[in-house]
Amino acid sequence: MTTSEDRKRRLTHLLLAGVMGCAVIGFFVGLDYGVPKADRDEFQEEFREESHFKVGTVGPAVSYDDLGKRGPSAYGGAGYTVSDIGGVKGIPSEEIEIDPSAKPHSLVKRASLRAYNGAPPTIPHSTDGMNDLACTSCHEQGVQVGDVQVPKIPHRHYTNCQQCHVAESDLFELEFVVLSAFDGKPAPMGGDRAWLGAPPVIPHSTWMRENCLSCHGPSGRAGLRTSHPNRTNCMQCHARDAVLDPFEPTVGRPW
Amino acid sequence: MSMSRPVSRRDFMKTAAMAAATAAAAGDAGATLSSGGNSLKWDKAPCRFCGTGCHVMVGVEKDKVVAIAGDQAADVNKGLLCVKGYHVGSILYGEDRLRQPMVRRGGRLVPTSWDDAIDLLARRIMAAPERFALYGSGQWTIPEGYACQKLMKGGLSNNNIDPNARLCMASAVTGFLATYGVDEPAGCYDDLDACDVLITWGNNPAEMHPVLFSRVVDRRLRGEEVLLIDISTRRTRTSDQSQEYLEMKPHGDVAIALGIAHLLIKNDTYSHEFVEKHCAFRAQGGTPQLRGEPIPFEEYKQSLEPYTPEYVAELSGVPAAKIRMLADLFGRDDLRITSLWCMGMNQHTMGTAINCLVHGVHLLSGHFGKPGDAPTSLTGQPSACGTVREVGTLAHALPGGRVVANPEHRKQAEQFWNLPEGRINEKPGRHTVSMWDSFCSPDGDIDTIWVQVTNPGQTLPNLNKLFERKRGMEDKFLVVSEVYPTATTELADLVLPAAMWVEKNGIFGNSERRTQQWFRMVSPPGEARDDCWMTIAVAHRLYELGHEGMKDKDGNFIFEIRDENGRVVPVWDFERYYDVNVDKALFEEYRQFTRLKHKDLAPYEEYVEARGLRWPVVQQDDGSWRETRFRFSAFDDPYVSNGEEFEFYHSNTGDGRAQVWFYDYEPPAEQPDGEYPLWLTTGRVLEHWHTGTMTRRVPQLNRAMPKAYVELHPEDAKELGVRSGEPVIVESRRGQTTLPAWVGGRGRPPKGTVFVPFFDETKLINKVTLEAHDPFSKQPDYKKSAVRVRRAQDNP
Repeated sequence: MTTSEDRKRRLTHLLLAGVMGCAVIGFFVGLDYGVPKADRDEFQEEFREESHFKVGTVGPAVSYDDLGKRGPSAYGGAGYTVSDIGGVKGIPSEEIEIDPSAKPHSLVKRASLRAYNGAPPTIPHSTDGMNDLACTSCHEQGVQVGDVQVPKIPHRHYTNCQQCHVAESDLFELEFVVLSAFDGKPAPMGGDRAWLGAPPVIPHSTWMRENCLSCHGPSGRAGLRTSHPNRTNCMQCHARDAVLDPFEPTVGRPW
Repeated sequence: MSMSRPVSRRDFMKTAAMAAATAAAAGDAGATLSSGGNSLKWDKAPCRFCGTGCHVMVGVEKDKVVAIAGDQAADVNKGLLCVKGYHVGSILYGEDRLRQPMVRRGGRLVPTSWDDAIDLLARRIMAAPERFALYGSGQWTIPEGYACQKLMKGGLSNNNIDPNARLCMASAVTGFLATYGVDEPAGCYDDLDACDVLITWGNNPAEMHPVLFSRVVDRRLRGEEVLLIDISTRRTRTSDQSQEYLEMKPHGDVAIALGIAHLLIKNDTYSHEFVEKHCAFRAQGGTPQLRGEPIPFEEYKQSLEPYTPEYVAELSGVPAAKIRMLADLFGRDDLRITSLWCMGMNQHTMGTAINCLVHGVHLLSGHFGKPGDAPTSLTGQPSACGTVREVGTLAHALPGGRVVANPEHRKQAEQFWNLPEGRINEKPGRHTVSMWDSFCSPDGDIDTIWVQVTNPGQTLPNLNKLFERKRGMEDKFLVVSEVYPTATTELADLVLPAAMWVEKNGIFGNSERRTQQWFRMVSPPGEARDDCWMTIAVAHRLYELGHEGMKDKDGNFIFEIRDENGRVVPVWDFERYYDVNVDKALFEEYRQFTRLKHKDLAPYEEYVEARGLRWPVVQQDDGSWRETRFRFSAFDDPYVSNGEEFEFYHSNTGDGRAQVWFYDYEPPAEQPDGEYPLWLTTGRVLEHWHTGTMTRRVPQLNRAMPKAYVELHPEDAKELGVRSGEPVIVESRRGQTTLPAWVGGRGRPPKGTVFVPFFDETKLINKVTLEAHDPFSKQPDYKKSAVRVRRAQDNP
């Protein structure tokens, strides 16, 4: 149980981190590099028009400073200030109401950060000058900032974060661009159910996702959260899909 | 019997795990459920990029790679990958893939047919076989390299075959040969799980071998203590995770290794037992040669006398106290110490020397041959070990660790290849720098080079001299097998579109002696074809044109491949190439060589099942095949004689002993002066692999690292009046390039040093680098050039 003092201390840390982050970013933003940024809203509109979610496009990284200024854009949330940083939510003991209408939007955002279903997400914010300790200061537990949810790491035993997760450079503009015809495995809209009311199977690999509540608990995106976070033995009811969780080759051998 | 083709494997449908769902479930806001991936098929393959040799699972749907997963069954990476590995599937799908052969006519590359292209190249070789050279790489699969080796040395009696690995790990090879008499590390990645101390010598595995680095640093989260010591000329992500960062001057590594040896002797903390039983001592005599001259232990001790911590501190810039700290660690026998190195020690004009000295520190202190106690060099390419070092695709080598200069070795190879005696030329061919210098000189004796699986137009040092001079030389003919347009195809006279990675069968060999096999999973685009097919097709065209070398001593084609019923399959016809497994046929032929120097490989089928096996792979009494993790150690290596704890069974002294070397410190070939006051060091970044030909076509990687830059120390930047992002010119006596500055960036060089990554073909830093090279390995030093930097705005 988090005591209120703990919460205060964490909040203080976050505030300090936020202030320092703003100072660092402010410095870099002050140097005008004229970095072009794709319009994320347009990107999402295009996404919605697809009959299924198309992946393989890279979402632009946004500086923290921009997030505050631009209002309802980059993260789809309202602009926020440091005072909006909220603590980590506890797990409620009651069944909670979920808002299914938030799901498509969250899935679009989720898919836009991945080259294919199963790819490590790219980082949608600036990482200039940050090291792995900086990653864990927010992502270890996940935090709420306004209505922006900072996701919690589902695989805490890996410590070299930027080995797998990269952000778009906000210092150097693109010059060398070759279009890619890579058409990655699409993101799922949800898990298949055997029949109406059956528990959905897991529509993604479970490898490196030891903690289902990282994404489906209170720190997850709206619409992807479970209605019953208090039932913690998730895979008792939700089955893995071996086709998405490869362990051995599933093809015949030609020779 | 016609074998089933890989294409037919896609028809092999596993029962769908789930029906494609079409019904919208209640509560899903009317969203249509996507199908759960029921037609997705997975197969294993080693990653296409570095020498770590991670295995990936490749997800294929409708003849396209659509997903990648870390292979949980793989020993090397245990399900983890780096950001390049996770996006490796995208490398096949850049929209500018080369899809048809092209020939230069009137200054422009125009499409041609495969038949004409193969004929053109074969006739060019036929006209002057001795003026032809083949330039390959550590990205050749083992069968590809083996086929080229056989074509050149066994077919054309021409030893002008060398790989880009000459630029990459040649000094590691000479270090192993001079020390142990046989190439490649004794230890393996298991050492990373067991070491108490990890020393990175001019090495940045956090970015360049991230999965291996994670294997060490993730141990800390499990409560284990590992001391990381980073010895480097610049702060990197590896330094950030290390408890000790020892910033050295260029060539300081040589002094540091000598300083450690000096203190081990002086403090009497060297391992008397290991030295008495397993070591001999060596130094260079009058004429420098790779194997040097034996010296008595007393002379070795005296030679080390001057290398006091204070003198070493002066040479290296690392404080004397830190030299003592290193020596104290090596002096303790309750610790396990692993050293890792890669380009820092290899791209070095004293490359052989520093490799030998680091091995020497481990041998002298007895930190050798127990799990966690290992001097281990890493490779940058997926098959630098498997293809270059083991198949021996170097100007002086033959497969299986043998050399052309030795008559016995030639005779043995001729026997395996069923060639008439005397077919193999005894004179080593031209090494990389010499080959390209000759090609780019009007009177040079090389006038045709065929480049396979590499991009010398970007990676050779001093590009203006060794590559750009070719421009406009009408009688020099450059043939390039490639997958995308590159700096090399820019000057090519003939371009052959190649299949890549899982578009073909393949076998790689990684840094820890692990041989890894995969099958073709998707079709190559357009008319792109396998590199190995190209080699065989050219050989067969030469055979048709009557080149005697293309026949064995019974008059049969040297690449005669038969099906299981004994019928010759015309694999030079691409339509028939996959009627039989050419990789398997070549691998089984090559396997005979591997047993000559205790590098035994298992039959091909064993590798189909395994996620790679580390050689020597020795058959057991029950018929199974057992890999070897720790060479020369009795507890694991079956070739160590009974009763010995360790045995160096290819010892240069013939008595089972390893050689502990003494080399005097020498300064770098070029040093900053008044005119060119800064050190330039070059290297790589996490997101891009080598020349970026593949990774810059992956949007996620390209956007994360869009262009090359020059890292500057804040004080140097201030003196120049340069801010981050501003363009500057970096120039040496040889050439210049313009790049944006990065101050306080990912790497932080000390004042007086600048760093530039070499992945960017629009900012060729190798126009600036120096081609000075190690006298034994012939590997150039890309890490130390003298340059000056100025603002681009002031001086266009």
